[in-house]
Amino acid sequence: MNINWKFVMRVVGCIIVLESLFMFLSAAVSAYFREQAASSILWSASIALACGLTAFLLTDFRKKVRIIGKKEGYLSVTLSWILFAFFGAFPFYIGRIVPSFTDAFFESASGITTTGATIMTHIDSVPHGILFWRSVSQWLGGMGIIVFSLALLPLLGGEAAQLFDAESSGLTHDKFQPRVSQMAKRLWGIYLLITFLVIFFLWLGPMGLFDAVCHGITTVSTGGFSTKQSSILYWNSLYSEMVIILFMIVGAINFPLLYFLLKGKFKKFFGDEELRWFLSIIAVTTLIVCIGLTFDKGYDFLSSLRHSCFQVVSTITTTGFSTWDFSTWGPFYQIIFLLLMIVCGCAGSTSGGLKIVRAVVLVKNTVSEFERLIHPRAIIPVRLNGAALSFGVVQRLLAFAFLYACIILVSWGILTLSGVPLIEALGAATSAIGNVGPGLGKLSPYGSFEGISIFAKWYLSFLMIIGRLEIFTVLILFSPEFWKK
Amino acid sequence: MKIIIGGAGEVGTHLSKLLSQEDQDIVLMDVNDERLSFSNGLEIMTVQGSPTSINDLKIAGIKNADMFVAVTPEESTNMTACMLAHGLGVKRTIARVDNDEYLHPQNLDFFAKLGVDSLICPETLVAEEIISTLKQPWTRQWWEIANGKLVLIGVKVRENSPIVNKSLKELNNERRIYHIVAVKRERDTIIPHGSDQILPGDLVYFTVTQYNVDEVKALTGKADIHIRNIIIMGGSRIALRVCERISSNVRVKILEMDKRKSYRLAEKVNSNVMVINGDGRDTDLLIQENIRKCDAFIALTDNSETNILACVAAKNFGVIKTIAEVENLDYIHMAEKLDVSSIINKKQIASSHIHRFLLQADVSTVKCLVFANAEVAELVARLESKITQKPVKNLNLPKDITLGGRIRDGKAEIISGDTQIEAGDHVLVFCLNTAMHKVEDYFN
Repeated sequence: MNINWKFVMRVVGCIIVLESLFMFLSAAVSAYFREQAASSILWSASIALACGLTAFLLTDFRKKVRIIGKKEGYLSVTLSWILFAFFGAFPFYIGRIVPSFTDAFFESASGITTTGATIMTHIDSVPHGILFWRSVSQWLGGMGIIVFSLALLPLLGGEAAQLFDAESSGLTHDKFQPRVSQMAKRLWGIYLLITFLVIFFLWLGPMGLFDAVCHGITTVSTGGFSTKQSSILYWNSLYSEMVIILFMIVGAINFPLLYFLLKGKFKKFFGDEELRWFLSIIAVTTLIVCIGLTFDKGYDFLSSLRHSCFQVVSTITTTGFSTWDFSTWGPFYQIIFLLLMIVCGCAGSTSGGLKIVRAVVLVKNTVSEFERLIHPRAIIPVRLNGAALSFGVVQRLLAFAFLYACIILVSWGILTLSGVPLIEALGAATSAIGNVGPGLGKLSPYGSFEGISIFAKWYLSFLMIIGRLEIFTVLILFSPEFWKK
Repeated sequence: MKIIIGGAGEVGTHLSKLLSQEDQDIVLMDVNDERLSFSNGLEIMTVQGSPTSINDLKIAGIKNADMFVAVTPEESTNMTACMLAHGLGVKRTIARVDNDEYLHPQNLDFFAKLGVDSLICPETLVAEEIISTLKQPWTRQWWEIANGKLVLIGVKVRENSPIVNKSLKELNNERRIYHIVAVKRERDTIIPHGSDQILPGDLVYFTVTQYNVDEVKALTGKADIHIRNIIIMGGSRIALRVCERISSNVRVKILEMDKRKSYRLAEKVNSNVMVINGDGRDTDLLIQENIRKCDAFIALTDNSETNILACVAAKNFGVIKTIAEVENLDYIHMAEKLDVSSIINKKQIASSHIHRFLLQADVSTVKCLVFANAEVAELVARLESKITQKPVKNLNLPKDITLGGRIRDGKAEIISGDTQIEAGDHVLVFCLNTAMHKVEDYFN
């Protein structure tokens, strides 16, 4: 075996220690509300801290790591995410809030991958500390736990680029700063800034401080965990919905692009092709759904505009908040939402899914294929933002899209085998790999994943992590090539 | 004037021959002594050595030189050589570059501080020439002076033209809206006088003000064509520059034989350009790519013969405008005979641009006419210079020089015998056989 396991353990140890710190914070919140859950969260945090520190110390942290390669990068990132979800399940499980460990792991995985699918059925009665932990795990997962630790810890220093590549999303991982740690700091700076803004604006509305914080951090991370069973509908406030819509969109925009906006490069920001497509898709789909609801279902125009806009944005940004159960609107709208779940937000954002940029390149490549048929000798590249993409990038993307489609279809089959009904299985598979949250049919925003089989829950948790790390990072561990010397 | 030229490549050798014929003192430097051997029997001193070596530059006599021209193939070598030469005491430096952004006017000061006084990029110059030719496809040559107020046009005259078989006297032209400065017939270029006739097949050079261009078009029996589809053969750097500069509603197809090169090209060009991996001599491919509906065919491969023949083939497919890059000077006349609409020669274009820096008179632009073996310059008449003393007909100008038009206070005017040139006028001068230095006497 030519893998540097010490390095992998050190990375994973770091991540778990970081996680435990946020668990202590949740315990503090729980203690503030004088809840019994505080002690169970405290226990979970201590276990995580102990395990993390052990792993970290065992690797002899004073020694400088030898040079590591891509393999260690993929392995440590994947293991970090899985173990993060594992330890994150303890607060639910130890306090018997969620009696089955399967459910607890599902909830935890759904949290850090910012999926937002839940197995809970009585969220209103869950202790504050647990609700806070649920939301915080999404906030950490939103920008990426590796990026987070790179921003905080100089320990991983020299080898940061490999880790960053394995975790970040998008066609190409262009650096806007020479060092990955500098880049991670700036990304998290933007993330923090947006988080404070959204919390502040939500707090101005009808929400209390606790709810504003919990919803704020799950909005910007496009996660979608709510502190209420009826989600955002609980407040029924146009103001809160508008704030949430705005920040869901911000969360689904490419973060490096937001960095350029803050630096005053407006032209670069507004000229970005992916962003324009993203906003146009939102506008067009909202309009279709809105018109459909007005004329087909007989809602009045303003309320159908309000609900269609919220649902469309919540789905395409992979947040999963809801103000209305779109499964009651009928099959046509479910198909529209299914398509949104596949495409999702921009690359380099907190959203999941295929990403707008990939969808755009796929469409453009298909259109050029017609041109290539007429001019067989012509070399026609796909253009993005005016520049031609290299053929290698397009090829990798085609492989990615094919794999993505395959995984959805195969998972659809596997889920139906484990007893999930046809439509629900399709929705759950698409939603899990795209980190959206709610699915279709009975698993719609107001349903719960509690009823599905134990196997399906483990399978979906696994899918969420695959989807969050953009497939290759995880699946490469299953290729024999990876383990060859 | 002592001029040191670094790099005996195509541009370097052409320039040194050109300048030595004009009685300038030329020192040519190159690392490779085989490249210098052509100069036996010419009035050129050669130094075998590197233009970036301080010692070699000193041997070449850089201290007393008036000008240093770096025209090696390497951009960075040229820049370094110019900086060194500047530091060693030469008065002016010129570097040949590849990078387009160096040529931005706002960077001029920056490079001057580094010791590089002027920059030229032959590929860019050629591309600009092609673009301006494509803008006026009915002409063989089109050159604008003073933002287009005065234009020099070269037109091939055919049987259908109203001026054919008439002498200049008969044509006249009381309003003096145009002036025929030269006629190219077979191999000779003549400066016509009243009794000379225009024959079919002549290449006639007119100077005309911007308002009367259409009348010249009518006189020569030409119709307006709009260039919408272009095929370029050979994906050279020039082709890339042309694609960068051409308007985005013109559809361009580039035929490039080399597969890897065409992939690289495809990633660089804009969306109105389609790169096709194939041979431009392949008729099936040309038909498939619809050459019959194509308005212009530009051949820019490294091979002059290929370019000429491909243009002839394109003409047979009915392409109206054909442009060939011909680097072999001896073929130019042949290409012209074969009816290639325009000939581009990189060496000549580059050399004539460098040439302009050498003239003492205030020359703003010089253009080399490839077909006519002649040069045109825009010169400013100095105070009390010879040219301002008498009306033009009494000046006794040499036979191979003629004055086409002038710009005074921003207004263009065609020059006739009675015109009196005044100090400060910008005058368009047409001269044969590189007699440009004779003109200097009249303007200084």
